[in-house]
Amino acid sequence: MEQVKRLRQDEMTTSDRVEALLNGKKIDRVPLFQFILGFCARNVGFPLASIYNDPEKSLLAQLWTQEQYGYDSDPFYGYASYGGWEFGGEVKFPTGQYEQAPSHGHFPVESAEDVWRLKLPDVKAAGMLPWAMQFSKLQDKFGISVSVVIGGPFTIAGNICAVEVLCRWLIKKPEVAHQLLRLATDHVLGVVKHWVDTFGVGRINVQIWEPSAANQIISPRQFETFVFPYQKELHEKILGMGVKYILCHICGEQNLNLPYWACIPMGNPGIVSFGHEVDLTTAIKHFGDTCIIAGNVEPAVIQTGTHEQVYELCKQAIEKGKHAPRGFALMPGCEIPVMTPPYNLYVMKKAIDDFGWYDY
Amino acid sequence: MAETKQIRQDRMTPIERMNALLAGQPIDRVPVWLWLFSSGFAALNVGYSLAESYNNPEKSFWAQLWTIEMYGSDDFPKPSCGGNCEAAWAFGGQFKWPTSRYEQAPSVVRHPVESAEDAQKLELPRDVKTAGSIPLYMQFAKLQERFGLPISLPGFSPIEFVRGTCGLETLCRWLVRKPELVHRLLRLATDYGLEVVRYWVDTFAPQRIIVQTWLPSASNQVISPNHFRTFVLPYQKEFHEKILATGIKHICCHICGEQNLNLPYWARIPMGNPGIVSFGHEVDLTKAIKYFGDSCIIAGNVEPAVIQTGTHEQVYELCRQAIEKVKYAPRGFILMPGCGLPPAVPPYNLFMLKKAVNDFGWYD
Repeated sequence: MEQVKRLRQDEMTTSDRVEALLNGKKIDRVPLFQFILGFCARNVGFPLASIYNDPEKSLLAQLWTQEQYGYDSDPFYGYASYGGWEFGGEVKFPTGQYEQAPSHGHFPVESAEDVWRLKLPDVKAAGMLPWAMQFSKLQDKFGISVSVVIGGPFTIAGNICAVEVLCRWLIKKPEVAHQLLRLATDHVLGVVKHWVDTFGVGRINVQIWEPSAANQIISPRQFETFVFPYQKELHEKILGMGVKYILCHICGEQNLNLPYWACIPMGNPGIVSFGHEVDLTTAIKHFGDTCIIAGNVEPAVIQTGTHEQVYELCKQAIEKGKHAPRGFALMPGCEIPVMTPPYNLYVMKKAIDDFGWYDY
Repeated sequence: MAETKQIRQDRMTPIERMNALLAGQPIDRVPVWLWLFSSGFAALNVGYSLAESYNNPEKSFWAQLWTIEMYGSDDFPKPSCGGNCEAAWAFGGQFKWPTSRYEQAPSVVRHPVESAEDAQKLELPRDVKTAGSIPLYMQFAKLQERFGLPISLPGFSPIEFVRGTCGLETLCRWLVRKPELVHRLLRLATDYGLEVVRYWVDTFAPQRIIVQTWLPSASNQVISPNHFRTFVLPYQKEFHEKILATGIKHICCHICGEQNLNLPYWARIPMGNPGIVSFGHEVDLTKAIKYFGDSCIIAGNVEPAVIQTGTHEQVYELCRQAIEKVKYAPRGFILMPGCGLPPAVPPYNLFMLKKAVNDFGWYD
């Protein structure tokens, strides 16, 4: 079929490409990073929940899906509602056709008194962390980078109590919010240290998601007071452990937070990814000199839009980000929805094939 | 980053490969078809509804083309307008499009023939051009023509068309109790099918047409070899002979299900030069070569139920076995599922067909 386009053969392997990108060397084409979990289960015929509660199936589903679609990012383990279960609450794994990720059962914190009684959990045994460790050991066994994926302190705090409760406390009981954020920060540091102790600092990559700090939830001033100091401390201490790169997903509408984010170290280089709400040109302005920029194709369009719309968004992202000083990876603006038409996912690779080659 | 094995770069385009295969010339690797006629998977793959793969030629065409591109397969878009309900539709019955998650194709609600009296009174539709799914098939064929693809002709097999008019159970009862009625319906069905052929040949150059036909109702899970000899063989043979007499060169015939005991009869039916014969998983491909290898391209036969519910390792292994058995069939081989591809198969299982061809299907 003359109408059927065949993709150009890669000139580098995925590992060579990513390593060169991280080391500031030339690469053959724009890498494709996927933020993809539940879709992989569906793609290989596993139950959706297995991505979250069966580390072996989760890793294999992701590896196989990576093979099929030819993207450059490795499997990882995590979910956005992390924190509640680990501090003594409950999480519910997805089973219904309208669920796509774990959701909260009950929260460990329902009142201010609960916060003052709250203790740090054992990072070796709490909630999903044993599964995360099992997943990482499989990553190690398969020779892929070992990841520890976790929310930022504010997102974790908003999972220990309901996010609407946290938002109320930001105004009415800031000292309670600060106590929760202190615990969340110390917890994340404890988790990262556990991974560093287990695998060695050179083997792990740290990914931090921060959706709850979006300006759809809190103001930039609240960001400055309640997010910035804890996030900065967290990154500094992680990098202080010897970790070289942090992949930080600055999720959702965070335009007014960007000046603060730009003061938070991400490593050398860091990798910062953005939702579709942040223009990539703005992202380059704030982070281009120090970080690889990744993003930001709108996931809702990937799920419900036409493939032409997805292709167009990819083209625009590539054209904006391709020549970012420290490099660029095409990526969805957040997680690929489980029911995404597979062809829409393929179109991201196709757009790279059409617009993403570096012809030096 | 994990190292994933890249699919080796093709040395021929799909159309070059298919043309060479049909011309008996060397090709770079075993071609792979992801589906035969029913393309519901492709519709879902691009975000269309399942029903649109049967009732919207334009969307079905594009969904297939895009899915072919994504998987790097050698299919060309093929129509299945109305699914297995063409006869019910053309002769005045009722059917419904698939809407629920447990439906995968159109289904008959009321057959046009419900009694012996109905069968006696049944007549050919007045105008084949407007009968049932024919306008949709024609719309699809014009898209194929516009894009320089082989043009599919819906070859309505007589026995399938009769099944569609009266229902499978009634057909089976009448084979025993009222054979004269079955012969009457088979005559009508053969004549109807040939009228459709004439319509196509009047519209398109015959050498561009590939007839697609399938016969699940003739399987030995439904009828005996004796019944096949009496009720299927003569009409199917006449049908194929008259198709080929128009100048059409290739018939793509899906000998569906368990037909081992029918194969000696099938071998007497001309399929073109070469024909393309595909088989269900019930027929061993070595046996298929014995009967058809000298005159036909062999296609098959990965079990669809395994593609849907098996592991990808099982699918891959079935593909490997099929390729190793038939790769060097005298007139060539196409790897494909053994029947209609279930629309909801895990995409990675389907990808195994391409991967297995990449690993075992190169002609070096």
